Amino acid sequence: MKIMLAYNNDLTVFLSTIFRAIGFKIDYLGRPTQKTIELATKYSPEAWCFDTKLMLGQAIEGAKRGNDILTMPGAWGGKNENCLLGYLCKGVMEKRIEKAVGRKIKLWYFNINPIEMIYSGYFAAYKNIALLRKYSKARFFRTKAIKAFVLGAGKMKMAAKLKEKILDSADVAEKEKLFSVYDNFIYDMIYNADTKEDAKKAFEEAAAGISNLRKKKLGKKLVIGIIGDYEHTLLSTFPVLDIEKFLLSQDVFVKQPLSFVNYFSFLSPLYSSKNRKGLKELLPKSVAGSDAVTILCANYLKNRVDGLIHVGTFSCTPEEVADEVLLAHKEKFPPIVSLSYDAHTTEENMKVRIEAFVDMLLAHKRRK
Amino acid sequence: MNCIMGIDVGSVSVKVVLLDQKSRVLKAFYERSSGRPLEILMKLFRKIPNSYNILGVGITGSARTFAGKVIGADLVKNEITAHAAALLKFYPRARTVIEIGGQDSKIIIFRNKIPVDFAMNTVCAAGTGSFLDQQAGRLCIPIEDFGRLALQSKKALKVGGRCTVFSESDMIQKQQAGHDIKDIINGLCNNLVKNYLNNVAKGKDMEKPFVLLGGVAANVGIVRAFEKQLGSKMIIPNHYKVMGAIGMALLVSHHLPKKTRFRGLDFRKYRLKREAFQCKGCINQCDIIKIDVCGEVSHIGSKCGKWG
Repeated sequence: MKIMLAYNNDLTVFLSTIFRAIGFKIDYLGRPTQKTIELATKYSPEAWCFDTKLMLGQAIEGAKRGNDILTMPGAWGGKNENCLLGYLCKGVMEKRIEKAVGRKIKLWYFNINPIEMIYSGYFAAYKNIALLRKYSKARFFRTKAIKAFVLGAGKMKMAAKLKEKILDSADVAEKEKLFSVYDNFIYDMIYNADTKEDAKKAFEEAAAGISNLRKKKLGKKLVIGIIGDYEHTLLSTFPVLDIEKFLLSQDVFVKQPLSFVNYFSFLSPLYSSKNRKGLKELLPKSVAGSDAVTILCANYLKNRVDGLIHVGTFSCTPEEVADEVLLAHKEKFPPIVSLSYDAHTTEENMKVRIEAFVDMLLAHKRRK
Repeated sequence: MNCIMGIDVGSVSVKVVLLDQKSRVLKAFYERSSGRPLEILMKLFRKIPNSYNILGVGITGSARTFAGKVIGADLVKNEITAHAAALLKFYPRARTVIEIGGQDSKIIIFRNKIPVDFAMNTVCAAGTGSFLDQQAGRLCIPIEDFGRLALQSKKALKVGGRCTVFSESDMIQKQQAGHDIKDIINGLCNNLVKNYLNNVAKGKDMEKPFVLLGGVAANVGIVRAFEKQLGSKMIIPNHYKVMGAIGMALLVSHHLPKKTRFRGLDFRKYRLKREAFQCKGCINQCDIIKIDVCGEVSHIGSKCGKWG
């Protein structure tokens, strides 16, 4: 059976390992493109947040490529399984995809809500993987899945670590080489690294590749943190403008603490009691949960960065809630710029804001 | 005479400013671009005397990347940074700067002479100069008279300012109902300002003194609406139309290059060739512009960086 794999940062590496182990053939879609946006806007109601639209667009792309199983890896939020606004309620997406491709489809949701993430992220992830059993012909499904689960988690940690290394490489002269190292690594992790040793070798090679790149001397070291709608902001997944790439091209060091490794683990510094201290009145009674995670990220980064960029897809309620909270308590955080984007946002508009923000932070630094 | 040039190629107008080395404005040119920004820039270049020795050139505005590559600019920056630089030089006491340009509006908050916060209009363009222009055209009223007519109005009508499409239909409906055109224009100015304050300036700590920049500052109807809604006088600088260009000249003067990359005032010597094509490298199919100036080739428009 052929299963669609959409790009979802380090989670892509984790899921691909499990999919292959339980006998599926992977069809890796890569990053969202203009085509994804076109499909997303064509087949979704105007009122849907852009995030959900993109997920629908990717699933339709997957269906059009003849995949037997489509995946919806961003369906966390709220109580139990679905987005509280109902966009991701079972049946809603399926009907739209079927209308777009004219045939029946099988849709698998990777549903983990933030409460589960904090207390038992990996267990909740396994609960979702187990739902694939009905489609798999693999013998000893559970053994294979658990084994792949451990390997996948290890590979995911390596991917997160490598990304961190890249984001901390603003002083590299040839930035394009930096990104191609990451692309090749992800591809290797999805299709080739079947053992821990293979993965480790690929990671070491990629890390060495980055370390060996020529460096240049920078003037003031500027560090900017990115928080918010993470699944579309990580290295080139952002269809309007890749913010991280753009910041690196401006010689800015980037911190992005919300890898899936951090999201999954209760040991993550984001959820630690130290990071939650003093935030009780700031953390909203969640609409869908990611608002609270965004605020935790902002709190975690506040003493580590010069400024924060809060990214949210247009009309994403949790991110709008987070934005309001951050705005109301802005004295507690470094300068923040909010970027909301949808299918009509132009690259130029985003660039102006980011460039101006960088210039403003540099002026602050000079002043200090 | 040695001077530094600042250029602002916006969506509605092109501005060129020449500063001397003491940052005094020697010449300032403003011309509507009428959809031909490069041609208008050429026209403005022709007005500059050859006796001026240009030491450096900075460019801003929505066409800055393209025009900057063509003319060989030494510095290319966004409009917010450019305006902030000019304000700090000429109005260092300003705490809130409102800039309404052709296709976007901005707010910059200053504290202790540094910009601490800013915002731009996001998904709504109802509060920008282009919209006023469009409405003036539709009503066959010169844009220069728009503000004067608003001031003659005795009462402001409620005109939707949230969205250009609804604003226009609201205005048409009011015209058809027989309302005085002056009251409609007054209503439009008021609602445009309301839209700006509710969207662009949302959540910003707006404090006096307020400075209003951009071509829209010439519209006295808008100025009055701002003063009424903010309860404070608006400062309109002498060079309010060209502050972005002044800012760019100032930014260049801070880091003056040893030798400018500027190709000169005579466009004929540029031997400019342009070619548009669609990249077939991936499904994004980006629209690329290839620019060849004096044999120096560059590309604009790729998302992935394949074309530089």
